[in-house]
Amino acid sequence: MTAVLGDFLAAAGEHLDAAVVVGDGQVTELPQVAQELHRLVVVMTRYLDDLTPWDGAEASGRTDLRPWERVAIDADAALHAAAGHLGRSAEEPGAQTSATTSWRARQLAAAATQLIAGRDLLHSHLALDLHGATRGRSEWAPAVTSLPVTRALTSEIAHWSRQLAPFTAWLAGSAMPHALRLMPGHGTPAAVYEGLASASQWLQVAGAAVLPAVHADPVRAADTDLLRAIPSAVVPQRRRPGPAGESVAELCHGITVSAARLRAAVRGSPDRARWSPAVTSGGWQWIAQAAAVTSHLGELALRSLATRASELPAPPATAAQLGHAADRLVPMRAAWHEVDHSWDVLITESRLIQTPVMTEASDLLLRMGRLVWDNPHWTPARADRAPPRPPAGLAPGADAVRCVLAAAHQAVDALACVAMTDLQAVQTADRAGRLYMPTRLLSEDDNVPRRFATAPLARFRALQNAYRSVRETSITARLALDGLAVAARAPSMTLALARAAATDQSPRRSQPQDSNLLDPPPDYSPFRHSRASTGGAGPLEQAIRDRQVSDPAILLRAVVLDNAAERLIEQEDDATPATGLPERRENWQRAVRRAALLADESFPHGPVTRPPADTQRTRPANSPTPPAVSRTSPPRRHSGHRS
Amino acid sequence: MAVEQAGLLERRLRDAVGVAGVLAAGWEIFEFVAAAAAASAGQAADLYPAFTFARGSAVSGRNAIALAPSLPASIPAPPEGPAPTAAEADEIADVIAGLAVMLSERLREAARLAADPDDRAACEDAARDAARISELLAGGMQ
Repeated sequence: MTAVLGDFLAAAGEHLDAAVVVGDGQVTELPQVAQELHRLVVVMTRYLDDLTPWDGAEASGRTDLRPWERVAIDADAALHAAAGHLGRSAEEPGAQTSATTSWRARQLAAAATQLIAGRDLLHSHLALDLHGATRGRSEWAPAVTSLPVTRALTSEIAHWSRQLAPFTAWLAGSAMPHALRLMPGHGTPAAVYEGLASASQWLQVAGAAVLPAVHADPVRAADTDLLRAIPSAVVPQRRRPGPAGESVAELCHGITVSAARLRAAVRGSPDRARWSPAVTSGGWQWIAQAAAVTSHLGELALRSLATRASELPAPPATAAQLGHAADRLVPMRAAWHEVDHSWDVLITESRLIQTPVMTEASDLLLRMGRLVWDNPHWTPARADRAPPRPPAGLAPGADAVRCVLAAAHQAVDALACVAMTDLQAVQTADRAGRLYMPTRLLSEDDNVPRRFATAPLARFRALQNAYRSVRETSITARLALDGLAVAARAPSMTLALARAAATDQSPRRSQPQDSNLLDPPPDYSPFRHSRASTGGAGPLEQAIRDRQVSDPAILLRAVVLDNAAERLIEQEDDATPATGLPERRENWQRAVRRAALLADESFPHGPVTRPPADTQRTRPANSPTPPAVSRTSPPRRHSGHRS
Repeated sequence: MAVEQAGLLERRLRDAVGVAGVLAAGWEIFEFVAAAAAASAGQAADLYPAFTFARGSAVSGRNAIALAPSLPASIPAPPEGPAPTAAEADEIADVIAGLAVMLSERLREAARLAADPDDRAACEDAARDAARISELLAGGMQ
């Protein structure tokens, strides 16, 4: 199963719940607890750092921030303050004396490790390009940077802060007797107590900072569902349709895997279409045929579910809803047929080379066929045909209806993705002059002294229109299934939630904000050291404190302004051109540094992440894909002309 | 009707002489298979995948032959007939599968005889497509 963020958040929550139970007599292990608490709060700040593109001072001048975007900034500043105090407490001499590792410290460490892994998961969807700008590297990237995810994640972190605040206060209370017992000759480390007490206050501030947003724009259940469902961008390992039969549940799971792999496989197709010899007319046409057949199988599955829904006492979707969704797949199939036919007269320099896209589409088709037809070894061949699987066998109960509905939804979603990328890809191929037509198929009026001519414009337009049609019909079918999956709470509803969320983007940091940690600038300004960089009080915060002001809101404001001043100075530093380094190279270095920093700060200490999926792709023996054939004498581009 | 057309094409293939003759007959057969498979695909839901992919292989085979330098300039138009009915779908599948087996064999023979490498490549590619059609449409359980 693909790891999802919810796995890590739930595990972190369990460890956190266990750690903050007080009164169990384990106060003697304060040093380790304080250190691990500091580590945990630092991780929480990094989550909020990711969500906040501006600091408080920058944000204060903006009028376009929405409630959650603003409170994330406030909570982030408060958490940084808490982390600073905890860091100093953990560094006190008394904090280093015990060699044993307490149960409570281990719980906090485990919570931090789970959160680190969860943040790594979120970052797996994003990458920095050569210019240092953040780029999505999965279809989930727009959901990760959406406002609903900001809402849910900020709310979650605020909840943890509220949990940790009283616990930290309790730790502060135990700090004094602990220190006296361990170091009777060294006096009382008041800084440990004060640090923990201040951290507790800041954690409370962070927890309370979100309240204005909670009232103005409450977190929806769908936000939390979406947050927890965010998968790793690691493509799941291929599950080959083997000779042994699979149950309906296994088929549905396999379809989900194949759909995810297909979506991943088509990423970058438009770019590859310009140059890759593996991108062929035969491959595009075969995909169109496979998509038409898969659409048909999806339609049959939904009609069977509709029949079953009319028999069940409390189906998750009505027969009419399922029938309506099935109807939406009819024009989708017809459109794919049109694409298939449009390719009849067009070729590329290579006829057909097996590609990962074809492999995944083949797996998807086989499993959809085995879901619909009552033959565990079904293939598209006539010899393997079978009667339809009875509706009661397909979906005995409501959960099975959801499962099969999700499988159809996943298949249609993946095909819609293929439709969109293939449209771009064929446009790219045409611009690159890679589409031809056999002279034999031209009209007799076309006098081309070669076996190939550049594809006539009319033919390309017909192909392009066919792809546009398949894109529109696929999106329509996908929308129908999106709504149905959410209404039925099918496992695939997260696809719909992610798509809906993606339209509501929340600004994120697009440039590395902490690269200064690698290249510290010269220390010429009092604002060079803010709480954000040192964990200690910045100059403004210190000035406020010197005036005996203890109002958390005012202190928070001071912290924000200190941090903003420091960043302003850093921006000015960054604006100064580096000698001898072109901008492009600098951006690349920034991207590399950012990646290295992230890896350094986020790499979990435990085996909580998984190795990349096996990328081996081998065509199964019963695959519906045709044998790969490449033309040994590619046509020359100059033959013929476009008319 | 399609069965009669297939019979006519089978005779033409059997009577074809030389690489050019086999290529011409192959072109006609692939055109016929593509049309018949397209017409039959909608007749029976359980045969829809087989006919859809068979049509694709027929188009691929025809395009492979289009590359052959020895393909004659003039090829008889494929015989036309009415769309098949559902009852005929299995019969048509049998006929096409048989025709494709024969075509694949003749194209392999032609590939061995071809002097021009492009003719040889075209025959080999088209033979694979014909074999694929027979795999897809060969008879099976009911």
